[in-house]
Amino acid sequence: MPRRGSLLAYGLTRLILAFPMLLILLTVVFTVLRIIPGDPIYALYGGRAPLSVIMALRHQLGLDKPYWQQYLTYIVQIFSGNFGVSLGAHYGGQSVIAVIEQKLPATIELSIGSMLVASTIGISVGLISGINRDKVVDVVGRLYGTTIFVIPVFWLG
Amino acid sequence: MPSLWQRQKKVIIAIVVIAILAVGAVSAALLLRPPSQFTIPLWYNSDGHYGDTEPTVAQVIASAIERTGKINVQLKSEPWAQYTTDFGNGNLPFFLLGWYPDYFDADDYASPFLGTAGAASLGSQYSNSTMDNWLAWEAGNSSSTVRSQLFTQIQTQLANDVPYIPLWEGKANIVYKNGINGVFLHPVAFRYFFMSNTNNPNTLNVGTTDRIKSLDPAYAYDYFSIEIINQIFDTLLVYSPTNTTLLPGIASMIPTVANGLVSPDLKTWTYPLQSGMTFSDGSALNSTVIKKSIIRAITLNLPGSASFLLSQVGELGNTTSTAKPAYTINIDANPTNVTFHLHQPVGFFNQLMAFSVSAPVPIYGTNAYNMTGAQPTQLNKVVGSGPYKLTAYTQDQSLTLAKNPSYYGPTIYSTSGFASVPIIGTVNIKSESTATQLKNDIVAGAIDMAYRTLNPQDITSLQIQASSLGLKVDFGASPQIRYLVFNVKTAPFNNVLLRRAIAYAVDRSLIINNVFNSQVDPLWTMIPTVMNYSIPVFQLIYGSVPNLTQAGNLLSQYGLSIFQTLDISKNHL
Repeated sequence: MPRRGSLLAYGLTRLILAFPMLLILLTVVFTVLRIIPGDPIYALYGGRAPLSVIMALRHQLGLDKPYWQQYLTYIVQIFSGNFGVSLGAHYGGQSVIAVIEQKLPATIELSIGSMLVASTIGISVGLISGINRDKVVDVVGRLYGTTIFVIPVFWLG
Repeated sequence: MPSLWQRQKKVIIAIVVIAILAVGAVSAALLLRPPSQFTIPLWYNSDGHYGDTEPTVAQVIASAIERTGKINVQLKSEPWAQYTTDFGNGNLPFFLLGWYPDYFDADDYASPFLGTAGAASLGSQYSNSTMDNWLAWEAGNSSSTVRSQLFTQIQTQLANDVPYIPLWEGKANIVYKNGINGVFLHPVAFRYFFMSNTNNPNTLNVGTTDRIKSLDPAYAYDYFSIEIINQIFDTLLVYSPTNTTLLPGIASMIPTVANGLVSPDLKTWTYPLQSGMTFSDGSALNSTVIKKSIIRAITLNLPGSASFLLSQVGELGNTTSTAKPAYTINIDANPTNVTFHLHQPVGFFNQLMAFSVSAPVPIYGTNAYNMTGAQPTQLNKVVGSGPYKLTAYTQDQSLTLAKNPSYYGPTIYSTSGFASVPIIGTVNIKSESTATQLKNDIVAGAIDMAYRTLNPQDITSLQIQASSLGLKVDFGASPQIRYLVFNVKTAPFNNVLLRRAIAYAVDRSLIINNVFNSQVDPLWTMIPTVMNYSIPVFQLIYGSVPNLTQAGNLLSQYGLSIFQTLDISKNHL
């Protein structure tokens, strides 16, 4: 059982590490999107727009700049809340922030609900397992926890 | 006297040397001989952008070219995202492509292909200053006589320079139950509001394989989204039910030079407006709303949208700032009309005012459209001024159109025989998962109509069974074209002899009969026959059937007897 002080330190450490982790994630996303084949602007128009329109759009979106410059712009805009306009099929043309704001209430609701369910079940199972350590109940509890952990969330729901 | 081994050793060495020399001579003869065939790549899209028939089309074309006996065709393919990038960057030397018009004018089949700027984005890199001048002249001219002469010159030059080889033009097709009338396979705007259904006068159930991308006129640039927009939104001008004649829509008259609503220099276009118009939510539709809607479409300039048709093709400019007069949008919103001041003459501006990107959207009131991005495609967020309104929508699954009780113009088409539109009150449209499912549903009677896109073999089978199934199968002109593209700046296709030779060798009948069951028509120029000014120049110059003798002569002139082992599978600029 960790001491109270170390738990606080653990929490603070996790909080501080969140920033570099986020940066790494954003960098991976940026890199992958530059590596995968295909140009998003050409794909959007499929040859239906004149070159001047395509070049103008690439300039507008900063895609004609060097990669390092694109990366810096990307990071700065992410952290300043400027997520731009979606180019995707479902929310194309819409402000990304606007779409997030629209979906956020439902996301928060689902997150709180799932946290409540997970906490209730998890703490209960943990308590029961702890009280009945190394007994059948404990084994079942641990088996349940492991199974739930490995099943993909997007399948189980 | 040498020993037996020494005598044998000399024989062995002699045999080895002779063998080496023989192998070397044969290898040299094989490797250094002139290749009997010259290899060229032919690229096509691999992930179904043009349907499942594309690999077969490529194979048929390759076979036809190889019948010259002097060319070997290597087929290569890519997914659409990579394909568009590569041809846009000029990396594909020889490839298949297709086109669907944005506005119904022959210019939209000439400028994008033969103008220097357009040709660059379409991968041919064709550039001819004389052609550029002809194109500018025809685009800025309203005289049909002058335009006809110019298009004759343009198409003749096209056939001589051969940056493209036109292959076939599509035929639209539709399958529907007997008892449904008013079904017009319009080349530009397919509309449900002319249809009547004796089986069920109030409802029409339609199946399609298409999906909505966006119902915001400022953003939509795909066929199905525009098809639905054409039911929900009106534009200043609209198309006649059965042909491409323009009719007054939101505008009460069609501007022409003759009636004084278009200036002689084709730079000022005035549209008198109908009175008392509203959107389906009751908000006012007037000249200010029209002006601001067009400015919205231009200044939002949403990626992938058709806003360039207004700002560049329509010469309206692209900014509201007066600091750049050459690009400033100049539209006058008067009480009874709206006037557009173009930066350059545009002879087909009326056609642009009939395209969905120019459709007005609510600017004021509780349903005012988003001015900073695309309007979400959601129920109660789509508000138009057309005969129908959107009353149900499930993304990628289904939508329902219901009669707009506030429609300002139910009698707009009365001169075409439709006293009042819409006729059917409710249209339910279901997005099918596959073309096979679409066919199954129309056969089972689960839907009344199947429009876009059945497989060719299913269409043939439905034609045969039509009377027993109580169905009709209609075909109509489609402005869609398919063609081959040469990158004329890249060897070996920078030599017109090779391009002409391939033009002689291509067999359109094989594609039409073997791949599409005669459900498409041969195309002999880049302007389809449904358009004005179309001249079958490739038929006139290269003939209706392949001419392998002429192809062979040109290839001999091109000189295929020397080493021709260029790596031209993909070019890297």
